[in-house]
Amino acid sequence: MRIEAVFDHGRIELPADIAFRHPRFRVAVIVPDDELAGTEKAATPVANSPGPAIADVHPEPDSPGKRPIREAIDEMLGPWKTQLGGGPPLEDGDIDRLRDQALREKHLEYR
Amino acid sequence: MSTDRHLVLDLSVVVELWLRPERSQPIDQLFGFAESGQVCLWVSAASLPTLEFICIQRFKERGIEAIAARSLARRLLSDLLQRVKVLSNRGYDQSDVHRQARDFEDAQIAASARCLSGGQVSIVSRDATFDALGEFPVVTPEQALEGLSVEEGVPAPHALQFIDLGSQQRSIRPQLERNLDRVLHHGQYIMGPEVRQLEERLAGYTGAKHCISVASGTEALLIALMALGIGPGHEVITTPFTFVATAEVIALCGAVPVFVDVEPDTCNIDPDRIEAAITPKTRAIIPVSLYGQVADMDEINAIAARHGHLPVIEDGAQSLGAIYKGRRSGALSTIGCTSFFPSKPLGCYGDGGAIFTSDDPLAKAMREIRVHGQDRRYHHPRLGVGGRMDTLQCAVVLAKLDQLDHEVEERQRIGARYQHLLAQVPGVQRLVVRPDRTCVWAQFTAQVDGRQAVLDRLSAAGIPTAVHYPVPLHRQPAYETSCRIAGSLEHSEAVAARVVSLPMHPYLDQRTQERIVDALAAAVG
Repeated sequence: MRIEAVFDHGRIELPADIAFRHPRFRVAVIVPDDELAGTEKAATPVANSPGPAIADVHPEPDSPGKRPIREAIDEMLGPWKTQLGGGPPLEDGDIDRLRDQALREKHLEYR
Repeated sequence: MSTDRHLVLDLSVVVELWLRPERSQPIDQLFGFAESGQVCLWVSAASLPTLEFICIQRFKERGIEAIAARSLARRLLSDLLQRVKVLSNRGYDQSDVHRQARDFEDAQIAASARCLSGGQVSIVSRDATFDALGEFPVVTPEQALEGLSVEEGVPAPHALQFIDLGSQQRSIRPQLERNLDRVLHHGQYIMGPEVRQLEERLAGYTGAKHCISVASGTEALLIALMALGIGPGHEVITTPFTFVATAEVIALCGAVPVFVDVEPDTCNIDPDRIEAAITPKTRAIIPVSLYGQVADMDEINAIAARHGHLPVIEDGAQSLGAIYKGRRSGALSTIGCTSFFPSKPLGCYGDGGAIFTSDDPLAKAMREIRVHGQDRRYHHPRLGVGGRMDTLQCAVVLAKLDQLDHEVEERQRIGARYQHLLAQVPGVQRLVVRPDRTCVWAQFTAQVDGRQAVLDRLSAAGIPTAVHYPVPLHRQPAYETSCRIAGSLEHSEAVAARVVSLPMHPYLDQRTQERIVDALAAAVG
């Protein structure tokens, strides 16, 4: 589920009208790039990116058994599903390329 | 439904699930099968970081910001981890795996699947050259799906087992490893935190106020009798048609086992015969909940109450999980005892047992007796035994506890199916389960004439069997002269000559059961 929230001096405020099952749980937050101090790229949003204006708060996924995996994946991808589906499909060889790029980025370029 | 079919998903398959929805329909269906319990899906821990890397990289490549890409990948992985079980990669394996491997990354996945060996295991991959170390078949998602559809209900190819502990172990492997690792880490091998945790959970499960874990089911009975002060000059009433431990502990306390006959249809002690066996020496009654069906506890408790509130100890070694008039075995009388022998409905990987009571002073006494009669360090106001259950064994039982209810349901379903199938077989007398209680079928036992010939024919047909129990205890040399026989024991003698136990466990599939029943029908025919 995607909801809007407000970051206010170190605290994330969620809408008061939503009831949660547990008093404490992990959420994933997308911080707009232009709110990150010292990030040069932040001022120029990536083309086609939904670029949320304020923080998106995602509760951790529900426990299994509630809905089919395809439905869960589609919901997690949300607006990005169309973006992922565009362009040529992922080929077998692409997976090795993606892995190589990721490992290079992690272990070489960030050093 | 319990399954011993396992599919280990290579990362190529998960990538397809996440990033190639146009191709992922068979994988979606595999998850559907897993959801309905028809297959167990696994991912190797070795695959997880790579999965996340690939996913993030693809998202970024498609124009999603880095932060959002990482968040999405984390959510996908988090969701996956709630839908599959994760296989561990073991340090001690690595040298051998590295030496054997053609592709070290693939080989990690195959090596992590070794703990599933014995079940029906395949690795699902899009990689036609996947290196499974020659130990597992590698199939595509489509082939895996086809296998599940076509082979539904086909028994595993391995030899038929009387009790299948392997399937259960494979199904609880992650919890088992976690629990054992915790004990190895904290090192409190005696009376560690798992001991108290198990006791609290079992007390809650049975409804008893106290649970005291002990070294075995036999130790549970012995400690119970010691706490009640049973000794020389006393008599304890029980059934002769039971495992020897029930009477053994009475004799060990110096008391006399008094044997009362059983009902021929349930094989449990006949309450109508108990009252006549009571004398001024009687100090306790031990009914046994044989094969997993509780005896007539209300009637027995009422008799005990009429005779000076004699304590009643339920020997529930085979009946944990059984329900009697809405209450659970273990919490039906003064004291309940159970066993965690590996083959029991809730078993450990060695010896273990538990005592249940809602009587505070008795619970205190039994806790002290368990530790050499000690009420505080090096102070022993009473005689005791070294009767503690090891922390490691408690950790094993805790790993199994989460699925006890499911396994009990499966046992009842499988027991009911046996009963239904055997109803059509002349010459086989089924156990009667009273309508006000359930049976957890620790053993599935029926009665036949000419038993030895039937056993021989079943053995020749590849059907393992057992006899619980071939000789009533009043006929055992150790008890012939040291017991007292109260009335006729004709039913105990008759059923001891006729009972035969068939394979029984929560993972027994329908076709295997039909094969067993067909073989039994041929053997008695």
